[in-house]
Amino acid sequence: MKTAADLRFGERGIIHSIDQLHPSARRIIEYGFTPGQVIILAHQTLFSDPLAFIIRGTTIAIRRSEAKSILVE
Amino acid sequence: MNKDREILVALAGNPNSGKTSLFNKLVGANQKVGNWSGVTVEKYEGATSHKGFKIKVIDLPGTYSLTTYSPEEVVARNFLVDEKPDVVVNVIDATNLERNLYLTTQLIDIQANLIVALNMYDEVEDQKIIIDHNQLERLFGAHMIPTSTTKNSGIQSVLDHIVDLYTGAIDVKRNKLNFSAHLEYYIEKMVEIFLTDKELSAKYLPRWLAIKLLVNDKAVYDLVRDRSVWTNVNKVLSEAVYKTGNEFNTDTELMLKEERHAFIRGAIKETVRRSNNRKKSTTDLIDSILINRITGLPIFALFMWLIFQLTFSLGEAPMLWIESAFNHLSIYMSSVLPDGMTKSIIVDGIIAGVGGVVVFLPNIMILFLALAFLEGTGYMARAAFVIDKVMHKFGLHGKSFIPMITGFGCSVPAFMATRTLKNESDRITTLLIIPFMSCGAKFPVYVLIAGTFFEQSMAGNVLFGIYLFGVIIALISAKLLKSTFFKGESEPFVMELPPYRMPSVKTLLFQMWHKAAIYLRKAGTIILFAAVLIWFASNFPRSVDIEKYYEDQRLMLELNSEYDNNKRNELKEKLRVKELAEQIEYSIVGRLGHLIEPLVSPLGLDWRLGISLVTGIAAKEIVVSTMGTIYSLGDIDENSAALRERLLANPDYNQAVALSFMVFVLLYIPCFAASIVFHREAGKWKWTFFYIFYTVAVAWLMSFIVYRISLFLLM
Repeated sequence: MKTAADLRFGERGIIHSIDQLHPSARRIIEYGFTPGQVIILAHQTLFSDPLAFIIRGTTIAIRRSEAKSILVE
Repeated sequence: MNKDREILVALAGNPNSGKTSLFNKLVGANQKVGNWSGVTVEKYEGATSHKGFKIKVIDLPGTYSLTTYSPEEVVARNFLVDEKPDVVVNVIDATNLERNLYLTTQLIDIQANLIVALNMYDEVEDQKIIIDHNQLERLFGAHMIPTSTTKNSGIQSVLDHIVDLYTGAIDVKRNKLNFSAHLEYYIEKMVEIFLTDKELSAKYLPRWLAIKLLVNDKAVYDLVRDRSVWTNVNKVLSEAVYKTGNEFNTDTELMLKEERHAFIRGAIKETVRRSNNRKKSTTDLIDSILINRITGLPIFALFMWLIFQLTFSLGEAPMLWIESAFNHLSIYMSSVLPDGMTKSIIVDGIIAGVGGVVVFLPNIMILFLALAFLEGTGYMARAAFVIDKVMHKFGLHGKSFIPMITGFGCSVPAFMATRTLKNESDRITTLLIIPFMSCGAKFPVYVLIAGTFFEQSMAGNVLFGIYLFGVIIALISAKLLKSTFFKGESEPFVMELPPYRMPSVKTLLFQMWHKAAIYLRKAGTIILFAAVLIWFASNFPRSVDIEKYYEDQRLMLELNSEYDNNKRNELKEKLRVKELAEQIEYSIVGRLGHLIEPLVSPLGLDWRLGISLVTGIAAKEIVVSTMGTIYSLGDIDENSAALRERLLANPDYNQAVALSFMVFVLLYIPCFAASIVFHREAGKWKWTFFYIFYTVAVAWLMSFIVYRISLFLLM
């Protein structure tokens, strides 16, 4: 399945689930990355890491490695 | 005013919710800043009076939730749970209820006497969002008051509500957040057991304890695991964890968090109407340039360069004023005080010592004004976003960049700037590598040494090489520290990029003044003491023999009729400086130089350079002037031709020694003032000792390697 890290610039996705084994999973959920939520990849740096997503009306930046723990559909 | 006329109020809210602006509106200038005990999180408190009550307001650090991920969260949570403030005002950004209400649900859990300030309500109206706050009040069980700090509205209403809630004129609304029947079953079971422990349940809400156990909260676990009720509670907890995994294929923590989010989403669906055509906001527009893939990095570099330039070029003039003010003061004091110890201690010790510290004040004020501006507008988070990848390669956080680059100017503000790093291991690592970023005060040393021992055309390259060497050592150190001491403790990079806002001038000036005040307070106390100590160590013990010898010499000079007055004065001055050189060698500092000679001789350094390094601990500016004293040249600067001749004349000195000395100066402990600030920011003696040991050890090792290699290559 696709992860949030695979989204193209400006593309939107719906969160399917969070890989709970990822060490930052709890933190990501705390910031509102929960199943069913719509996310849009809004900004990326020259290195394509970190990535900034629009979620629940705010822009949240996370590292690529963390974005990989977010499965989207 | 008697005690029960005083109301203790805590302000809680997310970062960027306008909490600090509301705090400023509530208490005005009547506020003070301290530190929460044990952590380097700033504690703002203030007071105001309303309807005959004294209202004491504590501005809790901004947090997204009440877990224990960061020191901010721990501080906020402990205050709410342990101090039980009379009223809690939850400040939320009403344009973004969905995120902000998450914290509100946790404030409901602790059954705080809650008032919710729907802040930035003017923006809500601008964006044509309609919020049904009556319904929101019913759902959350808290008074909801629209406020706007820019429009100055709702502030009085907040104060009215605080007093009325305290006196009971209006009801405390209470509503518990109901989770799914599955979770509630276990929560209630645990609550029943907790209630049998009278002591524990009097202190903490049983329901809160139960919820926290379900989300694997370590702090709450530590609280209850030694109680006799624990065995029974643990049985219920284990069952809950097992059943949740079995029946729902998830864990209790995740389930609880998702239910919280679901509750909020439901509440918003019910109460908020947004106009559908959400146009591209100004923030999106600015961001499309500032953190654009292509332009983001160059713009970031430009901003950093600007800050650096402003700090040191704008700061130069006031620095000169301060310097000359202290000069005048010392000239004046010299003229009014009688010769002797008291005069020397005041002029050479106190005025010179404190002056040397106060002189950095303009830099500090400008830098922190600029940083407060970046933070206040919201760019700081973007800066970290843009540079994070590079920093992360070395185990650092995007936010480490600004303190590091500040270190090129002066370590003092650089150490202070590490406060933006929330994770302890990131902060300590950054603190420990800042000394390797060569500060401005070390520059004269390089100019003198490189200029003396290298050709004009080479000196510039040597200078650049030294700076680069420092950066490399800093990055390697970071990697090393992160893979040993702080293994696996790296903070995930999860950061909100808040909407751009114009910070108020008042807030900016207040933050600048606050940093300046911290610095000045140190200058007036510990640094004053250190200045006297260093003065003492370089003046005592005094040799009576040396004194007597020069006394005789001066007498002979007076009696010698061969010289005219000019010549006599010139010779007198030479004698004075020579005496100074011999006395300093005899003093504690001089003896220390001799004592450490065996330690520095493997680096090619003699006792003279050793002494310079010892006095350099006080301030790097002193390194050059100490050499001047030792070489009997009186007060000199790095351009002194006389000192250069003397250095070149010494047969033991060569290019290898020069490199070794510069590398040592580059890497060892920054000045005393900086070390004090380091200790303050690191917070534990353990780190201060490690910082001293590490910088000196690295300096020694690198000097040794550089010396040996260059001996081999150059000689």
